[in-house]
Amino acid sequence: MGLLLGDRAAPARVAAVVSMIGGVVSLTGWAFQLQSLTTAIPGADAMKANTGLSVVLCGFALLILVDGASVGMEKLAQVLSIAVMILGSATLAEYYFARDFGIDELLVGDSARGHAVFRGRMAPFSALALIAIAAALAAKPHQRLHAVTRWGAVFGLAVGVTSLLGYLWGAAEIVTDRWLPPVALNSAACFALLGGGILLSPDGSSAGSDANVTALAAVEIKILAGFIVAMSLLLVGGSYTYRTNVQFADSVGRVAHTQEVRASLASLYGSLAGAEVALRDFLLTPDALHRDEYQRLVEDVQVHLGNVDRLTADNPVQQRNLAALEPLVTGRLAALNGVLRANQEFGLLAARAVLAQSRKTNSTVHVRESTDRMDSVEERLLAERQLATTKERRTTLISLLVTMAVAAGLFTALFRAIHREMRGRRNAENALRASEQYNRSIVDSSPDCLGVLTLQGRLTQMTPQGCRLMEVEDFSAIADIDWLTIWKEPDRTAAAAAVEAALRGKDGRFQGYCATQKGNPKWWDVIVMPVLGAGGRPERLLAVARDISDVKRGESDLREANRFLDSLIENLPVMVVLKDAATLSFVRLNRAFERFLGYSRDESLGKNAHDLFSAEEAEFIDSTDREALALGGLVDIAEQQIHTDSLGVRAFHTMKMPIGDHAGKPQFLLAISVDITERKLAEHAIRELNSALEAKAEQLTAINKDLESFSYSVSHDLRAPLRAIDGFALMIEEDYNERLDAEGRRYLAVIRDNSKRMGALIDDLLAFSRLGRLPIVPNEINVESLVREVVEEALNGHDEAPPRFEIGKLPPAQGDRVLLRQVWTNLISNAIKYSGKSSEPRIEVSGQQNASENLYSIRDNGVGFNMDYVDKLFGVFQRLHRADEFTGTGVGLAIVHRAVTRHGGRVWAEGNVNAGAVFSFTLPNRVSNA
Amino acid sequence: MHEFEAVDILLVEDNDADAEMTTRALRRGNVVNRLMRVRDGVEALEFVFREGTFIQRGGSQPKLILLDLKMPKLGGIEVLRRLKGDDRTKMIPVVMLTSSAEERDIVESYGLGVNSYLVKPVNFSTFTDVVSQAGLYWAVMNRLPS
Repeated sequence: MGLLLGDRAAPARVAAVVSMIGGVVSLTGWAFQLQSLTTAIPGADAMKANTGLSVVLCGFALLILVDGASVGMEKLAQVLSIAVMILGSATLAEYYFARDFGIDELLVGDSARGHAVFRGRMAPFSALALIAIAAALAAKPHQRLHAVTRWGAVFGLAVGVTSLLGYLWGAAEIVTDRWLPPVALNSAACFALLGGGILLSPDGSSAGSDANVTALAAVEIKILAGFIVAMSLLLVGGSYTYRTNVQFADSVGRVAHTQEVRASLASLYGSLAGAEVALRDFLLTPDALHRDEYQRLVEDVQVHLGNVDRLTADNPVQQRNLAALEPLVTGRLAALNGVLRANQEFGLLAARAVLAQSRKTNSTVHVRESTDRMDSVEERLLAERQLATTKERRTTLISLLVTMAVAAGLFTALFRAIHREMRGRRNAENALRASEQYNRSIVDSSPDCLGVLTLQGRLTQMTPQGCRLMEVEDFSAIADIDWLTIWKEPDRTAAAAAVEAALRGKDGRFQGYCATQKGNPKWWDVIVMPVLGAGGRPERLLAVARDISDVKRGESDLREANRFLDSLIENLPVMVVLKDAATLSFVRLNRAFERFLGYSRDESLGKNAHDLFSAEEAEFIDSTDREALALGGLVDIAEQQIHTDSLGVRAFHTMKMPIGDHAGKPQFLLAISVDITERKLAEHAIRELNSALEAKAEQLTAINKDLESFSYSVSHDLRAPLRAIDGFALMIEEDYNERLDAEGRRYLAVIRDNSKRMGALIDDLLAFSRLGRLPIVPNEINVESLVREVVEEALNGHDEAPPRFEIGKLPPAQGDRVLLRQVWTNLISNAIKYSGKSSEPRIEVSGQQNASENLYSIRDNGVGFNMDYVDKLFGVFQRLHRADEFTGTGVGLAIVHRAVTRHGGRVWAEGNVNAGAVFSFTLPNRVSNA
Repeated sequence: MHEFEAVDILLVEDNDADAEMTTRALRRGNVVNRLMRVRDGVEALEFVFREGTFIQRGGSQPKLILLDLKMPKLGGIEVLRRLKGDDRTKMIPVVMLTSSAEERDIVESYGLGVNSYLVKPVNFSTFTDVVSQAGLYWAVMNRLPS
C-alpha cells in the first residue's frame, strides 16, 4: 500500500516543485530585470511577479500537504493558500472595479514589454486560476471540503491547459479578450502543474485508506495518463492540421493574388489598347462618344496601373518590371494624348503624323512586351504557388488523416484497456459476489444459530437460520441487545464466563435454556468464539448455538421409557430373568420371580441357578442356558418342572434368548418363564374328558349298529305277516264274495284297512329311525327341481283333481338329498291332503335366500289347524285331526322336524282353522353335522 | 308239489302265506302253469343244480327264478351269488321278490347281477299286480337263449 501511495505522491511532489521553480525563476527574472527568465519563449507574455509569487507559495503548500505533515505545517499551508486567495481576489477586484490597489508593483517595477496599461498585473484568468488553486489547497486537509479541492484544482488545470493550447494554436482570442492580457505561457504551465498535482496528491490523513481506494488510484492514473496522452496527441495533431490548413488557405490566397495581378495586367493592356482604338475611332469618325470612351479608358489605365503596383508591392522583381513598364505606359498615354491634342488643334493629318511618330519610340507593342514579361513572371509564380497549394492541401490531408488515425488508434487502445479493466473488475466483482454468496451459503446452511457479538457483548448480527430457530421475525427489533440478557440464571453466569473466555482468546462453552421469540422452549449447546482481527486480537465474538431441545427431550423421553420398561418388567405376571452370559449369575429379576420361587431379589442377584435350585433342576437350567447362548437364538422349553417354595411344584413354559451387544457378542441371557401349571391341569382334564367321550361315542356307534339291524329286521319281518293278512283277506273277498253278506264284506274291508295302516306306520317309523342314524351327506341341492319332482310324484298317485301349485324361485340349498326329499315329500303331501277338501285348492311354495340361511315356505288354503295345539304338531304320533277326517300316521311332521333340525335349521308352522296353513323351515348355508 | 317235469318259474320263498299269495297271483294272471316252489335257499340251489333232493330232476332250467332275500339257512344273496357265479346258471333271469326296500340290499343284489328287484307291497292287490306283471314279462315276454 505504501508503494501505491508513493506512486501518487511522487508526481504531485514533482509538480509542486516544478511549479515552484517556475515561479522562482520568474521572480528572479523580475528581480534582475531579465526578461528571458520571465517568459517561456522569447516574445511571449511574461509571468507577472505576483503570479510568480503565488505560484511559489502554492507549490510550497502543495508540497507540505502531499506528505501528510503535522498539524502545524498544515496550518502554515492553509495560511499560504489563503494569502494567495487574497492576492488573486484583489487583482480581480482591480480589474472589475478598474482600480489600482498598487499590489502589482509591490514586488517589482514596470516592465517595458508588458501591455501598457497593465504591466505588472497578472492576467485575470491567472488570478482566477490562482484563487481556485489556493482554495483547493486550503480545503485539502478537510475531508468534507473534498469537493472544493477537487474542483478548484480542476479549474486551475483547465485554465493552464487551455492557455497552453491557445499558444499551441496561436489562438490568442481564446484566452483573452482583445483588451485583457493573456495568461503567460509559463504561468499556464504552472497552473496546469499545480492543478494536476493537487488532483494527484493523495487524501490527507485518512487512517484507514483501503486498498480499494489506492487500487482505484492506480487504475485512475493509468486511464488518466492514457487520456492525457490521447488528448495531447489529438491536440498536437489537431493544431498541426489547423496550422497546415491555415497555410493552405494562405497559399490559395496567394494563387488568387497572382491571378489578380495577371488580370490587372491584362486589364491594363486592354484598357491601353482600347484607348488607342477609341482614339483611332474618334479620329476616323469624330464621334464624341469615342472621345469620351478614350478618356474613360485612359483613366482606367491609370487605375489598373495603380492596381498592379499595389498588388505587386511585395514582389521586388515585379516592382522592377513595373518600374520599366510604367514609363512605357505613361509614355504611350502621353503619346496618345498628344495625338488627340494634335487632332483637336491641328486636325486629322497632324494627328496621324504624331501617331506614326509615336509608334516608333513608344508603341503599344512595347507595352505589350513589358506586360507580357510581367505576366510570365506571374505565371511562373502562379505555377509555383499552385504547386505549393497542392502540397499544402496534401499535407493538411495527411496531417488530418494521421491525427485521426492516431486518435482512433489511441482511443481504440484506450477503450480496449478500459474495457479490459472493466471486464476484469466485473469478473472480480462477480468472483467476489460468488465468493460472498458461497460464504454466506455456507454460513446460512449451518443448522445452528450463529450470532455475531461485539466485544461488549451486543448482538449485531444473526444468520437467517438463526432467526428461524429463534423464531425471530424481524432481527432489527432485537439488534444490538445485550446478549447475556437472553439467558436466565444459572445459565447467565455460564454465558458470561464463556464470553470472558472468548475475550481472552479461548472458546467458551456452556449449555442453557432460552425460549424462542414466540415462547417455544428450546435448549442450546453454545460455543462462544473470538473472531480475530488483523492484529491477532479479538475483533468481535461469534456465538454458535446448537438446538439440543430434541436431545434434551430425547433424554427425558428415554428416562420415561426406561421407567416404563422397568415397571413393565416388574409388573408382568411372568418371570423375567436376566443372567450374565459368562457366569450365568442373576443380573436382573422381577417381582413375579420373587413371588413364584419365594426368593427375594436381594438374596438372588449375583448368585446362579445352583444356589437357588436343586442340583437336578439347576443342571437342566444351566444346560439350556448354554444351549441358547451357543445357538445364538431362541430356545423354547415347552415344559419345565420347578420346585417352588410357595406353591409346590409348578410347570413353566420357558423361553431363553441370548442378548448381545452391538457387535452381536452375547452379553446376557434372557429367560422368560410362564406358569403353565393351571393350563397343564386343564389339558389333562380335557384329555380325560376326551377319552370318556370317545368311549361314549364308541358305545353309541355300537348302539346305532344294533338299532340299524333292529329296524331292518323289523321292517322286513313285520311286513310279511301284514301282507299275508291283507292278501288273504282279499282272497276271501275274491273267492267267497258271493257267500258273504254286506257285513262280512265290511269286516274284511276293516281287516284290510288296518293292515294297510300298519304298513304305513311301519314305513314311517322306519324312516323316522333311519333319520336319526344316518349321517348327513351335504350336497348342493337344486331345491326347485327337487320340489317339482316331489310335486309331480305326489300328484301322480293323486286321483282327485290336482290342486293348483305355484312354485316360486327357490334358492339352492346345502344338505342331504335323501333327507330333504323326505321333508319336501311330507310337507307337500300334507298340503295336498289337507287342502283336498277346499273348492279351489291352491298351494304356494316360496323360498328366500338370507344372509346365513335359506327360508322355504309352503302355504295351502286347506283346513288349517288350531294354533292352540301348534306345539303338538311336530311330535311323534301326534295328530291334530281325526283319522276319519284325514289319514295319516302322525309321524310325517316329526320326520320333517328331525330332518331339518339335523341340518341345523328350524321348522315352524302357522295355521288358522279353515283358513289354510303355512309351513316354513330354514336351512343354514353351511351345513353342520348335527 | 315236487314235480320233476319242466318248470317255468322257480319260486324261492320260505313264508307260506307269501308263497300262496304269489302263486295265486301268478296263476291268476294266466302267466304260467308250471311253477315250482322251494322253501329255502338250499333247496333252490339243489333244484337248479340238480343236487340233493332234486338229483333226478329232468327238464330244462326254469325261465325265471323269483328269489326272496330273508330266508333261513341260505339267504337270498348267497343263492344269487351262487346262481350268477356259475356259468351253467348265470343266464337264468333272477328277480328278487322281497319285502326289503333297503338300499343296501338293492345295491348288493345288483352288484351280484340280479336281473330285477321287486319289493313286495303290503297292499295285496298291488302285490298281485306286481307279481303277475313281472311273471308275464320275465317268463313270457322275455327272450332267453335256447
